[in-house]
This record gives sequence, structure tokens and C-alpha cells, in this order.
Amino acid sequence: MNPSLLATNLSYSYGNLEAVRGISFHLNPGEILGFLGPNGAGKSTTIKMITGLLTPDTGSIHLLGMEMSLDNPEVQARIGVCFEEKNLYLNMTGRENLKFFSRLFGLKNFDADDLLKKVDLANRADDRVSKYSKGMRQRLMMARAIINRPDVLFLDEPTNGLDPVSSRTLRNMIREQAERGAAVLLTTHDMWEADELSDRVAFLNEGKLYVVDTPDNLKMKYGKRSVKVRLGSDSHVREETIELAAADAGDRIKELINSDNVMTIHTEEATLEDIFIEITGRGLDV
Amino acid sequence: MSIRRVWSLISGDLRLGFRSPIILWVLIMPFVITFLLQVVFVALFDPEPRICIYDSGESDITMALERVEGIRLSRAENTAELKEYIENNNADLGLVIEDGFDQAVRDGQKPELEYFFSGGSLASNRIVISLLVLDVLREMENIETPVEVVLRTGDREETIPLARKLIPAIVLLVLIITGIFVPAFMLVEEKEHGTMKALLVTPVTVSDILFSKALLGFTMTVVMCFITLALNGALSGQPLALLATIVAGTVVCNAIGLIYGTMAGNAKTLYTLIKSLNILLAGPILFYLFTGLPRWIAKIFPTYWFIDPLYSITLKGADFSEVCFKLAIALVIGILLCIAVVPLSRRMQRKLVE
Repeated sequence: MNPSLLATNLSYSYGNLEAVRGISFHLNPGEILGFLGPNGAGKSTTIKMITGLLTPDTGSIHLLGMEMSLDNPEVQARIGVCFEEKNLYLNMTGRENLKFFSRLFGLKNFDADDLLKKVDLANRADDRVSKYSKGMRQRLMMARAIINRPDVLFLDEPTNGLDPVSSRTLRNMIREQAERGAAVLLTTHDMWEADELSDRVAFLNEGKLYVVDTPDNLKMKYGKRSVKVRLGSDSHVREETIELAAADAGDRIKELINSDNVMTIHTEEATLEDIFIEITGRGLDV
Repeated sequence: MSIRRVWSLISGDLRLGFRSPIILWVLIMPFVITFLLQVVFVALFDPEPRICIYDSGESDITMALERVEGIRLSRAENTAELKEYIENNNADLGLVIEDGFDQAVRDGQKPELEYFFSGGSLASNRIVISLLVLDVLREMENIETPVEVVLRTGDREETIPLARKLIPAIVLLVLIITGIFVPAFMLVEEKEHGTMKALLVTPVTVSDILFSKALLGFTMTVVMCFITLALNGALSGQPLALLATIVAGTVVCNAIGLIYGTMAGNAKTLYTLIKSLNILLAGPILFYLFTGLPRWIAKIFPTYWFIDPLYSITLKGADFSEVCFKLAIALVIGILLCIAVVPLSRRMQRKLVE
């Protein structure tokens, strides 16, 4: 399968500050790749390079088999971008915003109402965007990003600061896009969201790409692989951790279960955040 | 660059335009400026002579004065009302014509004619009205005037009325405000709201954006300039020359607008640029208002090369062949300024995303 996106050895510096340092990765059709990293890790700079807003200092980007460069309408007609900043036309209505962008893509018979319905904005279609809440604006941004049924979708912190209902709507839309075959590059520092949505995750820190793999593989590789058993009687509660790698782990678990004192059993699976910290030596909440 | 994308951008701008105070101002500006010009320079500095008449009979003088163009005549119901008119400076001069006055004149009785005048009225207006009344009286007595006065406009610039002299200044104002403001403001607005970034990840290119802003600015400027000229009665019999001049001026101003728009990151910087640099653009106007100033200095300003042709066409009736050389220079300046937009647009794009 030819990848939708192939980035090779990308670097970019803002003056003396190296924002992205020689990163390489690929993204397949129908795949969601979560780009994880704290603020300043280089996630947005990478997206700007891939979408043609910035020219990389080094490296190359192939999108849908074409080399990405500045002002490349052919490629840009097949991508969708949802920025973190809410850059909508505030003096236009929601419907006008979508229709305006549909004309820029040269879409004929575009149905703005259908798309507005998908993002739960049908009843506010004729209100100016300046009157929309943050969540409504973000949903409209998402609608705008998929207006052209993009083959590659770039989402920069799409659910950042949203209420749970808006977040869920957007997550469902992201899954739908991947299911119809779009390659999705999602940047976030929400570990739970990345785990929930991504087929693979990439850890980025200080402009360097540390690892790209599936969440399950990472958990297997870096997780503790242990079971914590809570045992108790009327007066006394105690915990016992059993390393699954130990030779007698199975026998010990069986023994405990047979003892009738077991209150709870938990797998001690590592979170993506634990793994990120372990790999990069840095947390994500900065 | 794609015509379809440029047109889509323009249609979006037009939709937004009527919700933008700047665009609304541009649309009403020719009317406001013309109104102000008429009030300030015509009504205050060059007002028509005003006469108020109390005519207790039906004097031929009143009827003759009513037929005279260029004066404003009002009638009072009685002497007291006439005096009130004069005291309130609603007329420069008041005239009381008693019943039987005309007959007395024709009988050679030399009746007395009483004038009232306001202290606040212009002496020149009082003289004009007095002479007019004397002319009418002479006609009544069938006495021919000893001389025939023919009014001609002088060729010297000093003899052109100030209100007309200001027409090129008003057009320049329209050119600057519409030609520079519209593209500059629209570009800066796209940057400030982040929408330019959103446009650049669609098939739209920077050239599409710049061209759409320039084209919209160009069309609006040309239309607004012609409206201004029409409102001020300055559409001369040289439509080709006038169109060429406005087009050349608009190209220069639009290019300056694009330079401002690409340089300024936000509205505050844009206003600073406009405030500090536009005085230089309006510089040549001084040389037409104060004709004693050496004209060669005006040639330093880029705007001179279309303002001077505009002045020659609207006020002196010059034709295209007389102004084409200067217009060619203006066009060259416009093209050079457009070329300067290219590196600035690259810088803008870089700064926009960094």
C-alpha cells in the first residue's frame, strides 16, 4: 500500500531554535496517527510543513504521491486542515463560511446543510459565527476541514478545551473520516484521546521523533505487565503485585483466587503518558 | 493563479464588505466629501449674494431680479419681517419697494429706494446686488448701459475658484482611501483573524489572495473616483484621458495598498504606516493650492504623475496626448511597486505561520 503521506528527514528552525529535527514518518490511507508531545514539541510546525505553509529547511514531503511545496493547489485540493486557532470568518454565518470554502475548492452542488447537521449546527446555520460558542466554532472548523472529503486530514488539537459533548461529536467524525479511507494526522496532548482514536502514535519532544508504534505495542513494550491483587478479611486489607514475567505467576494468581480472600484484581497496564515519560523523560502537561 | 478562485475570493469579500465599516465608509465617502466641499468652499467662502425684498405692489424690479441667475432672492411680508431677515444675516441686502414705485420711476419722479444691509454680509455681495438693482432700474427707464460687461475665466491658475482647484485633491483622497485602504485593510483583516492561514491550506495561493484584493480595490476605486468627479461636475469632455488617469492612479494606489497590507501584521501597524506615509502621498496637492511653490519639488512624489494629469484634464481641459507621458511614468511606478509586493508577500507568508 502506498502511504498517503511520507515525510523524510524533516527539519525546521525558527532562527536559532531548532523546532523540528530530522523527523521521518509515514501515514497510510484510513489510518489515524496521533502525534503526541507537550507544547513546543514541534507538532504544529510539522503540520505547517506538511500542509505547505512552511518550507522545511531539510527533508522532503510526499503527499498522495506528489511532492509537497508552497502553493501547490493540486495537493491542497485533496487535504483538509483543522487548526487549533479558530480562524473562521466571524462576520459570515456558519452556512456562508462553508459555502465560501466550498467555492474555493470548486465544489459543485455542495450541501452545506448536510454538513452542518453532522456537526450539530443545523439550527444555527444562519447565525453569524461571532455569536457561536467555542465548541460550536470548533465543530464548524471540523466541518470546514472535511468539506472536500479530503484524502489526508490534519487536525491540530481538535478537541482542546471543548466540552465532553462537542469532543465526542468530533471524535466520532474523525473515526468516520478514517473509516471512509482518509489518512488522519492528529496532534494532541490528550493521552486518553490519542489512545482512544489512534491506530499508531508518534512521540515528539523538543523537535525529535522518539517512537512511532501502535498504542498496544508500546504498552506491551514499555508497560509493567503485572497484576495487582487486593486481598482482605473483615479487619485486614492487603495488596499483592505479581509480575507476569515471573515463572510462578500463573500458579500464584490461581492460589490467591482459590483463597477466597480476593477483593479485586487489576492489570497494571502502563498509560501512554507513563510510556511517554519513560521514553522522553518529560511529561505532556507543559 | 486561477480566475475561478480569484472570483470566489472577491465574492466572499463582497459579502463581508457590506458588514465592514471601512468598506461602508469608502462607499459613502465621495458623497460626504463633496457635501463638505460644497458647504465649506462654496456656501461659506463663495456664497451667492442674497437679497430680501418687501414689495407692497407688483414691481417689475422684483420680477426682473427673480429672473437673474446666481443670486438668492427671498420675499418678506412686511418691513418688519425684512428687517428681521437682515438682522439675522439671512440676506445680504434688503430692499423695500413701495406700491407705485415703478410708475414713479417711469414718470421721472426719482423716488427714494431704501436698502437695508446686514453687517455680517459680504461687501462684494452688497455691491453685486446694488449694481444689479441699478441695471434693472436702467432697463425700466429704457436707458442703455454705457458698457457691456463680459465675464471670462482667466487662464492663470490663480483665477480658478478654490472649490474647483480642490477637485483633484478630493479625487486623490478617494484614490488614497479607496485604492490604498481597501486592499491593505482586507489583507490585514485576513491576517488578524487567521483566515489567511485557512485560505492557504485550500487550493488558493498567495497570488490569488493578493490579486483578488487588488482587483476589488481597483474596481471600487475607479467607480468611486468617477462618482466623485460626477458629483463635483468635473467629468470633462475627455473621457479617455480621464479614464487613463484614474486607472494609472488606481494602479499606483492599489500597489501601495498591497505593500502596506503585506507589511503590516495588524490594524494598528497599518494605521501607523498610513498616518506616517500618506502625508507624503498627498504632498503634490500643496503645489496646486499654493501655486507659488516650485513645481519641480512635486515631481518627487509618486502621486504627482497622475495628480498633475488629473488637474490638467479636469481644470484645464487637457486631452490624452498632453498627459500620456506623465501617465506612462505613473504606470511604470505602479508596476515597480507591484514588483516590490512579491518579496513582501513571501515575507508575509513566512511571518504568518511562524
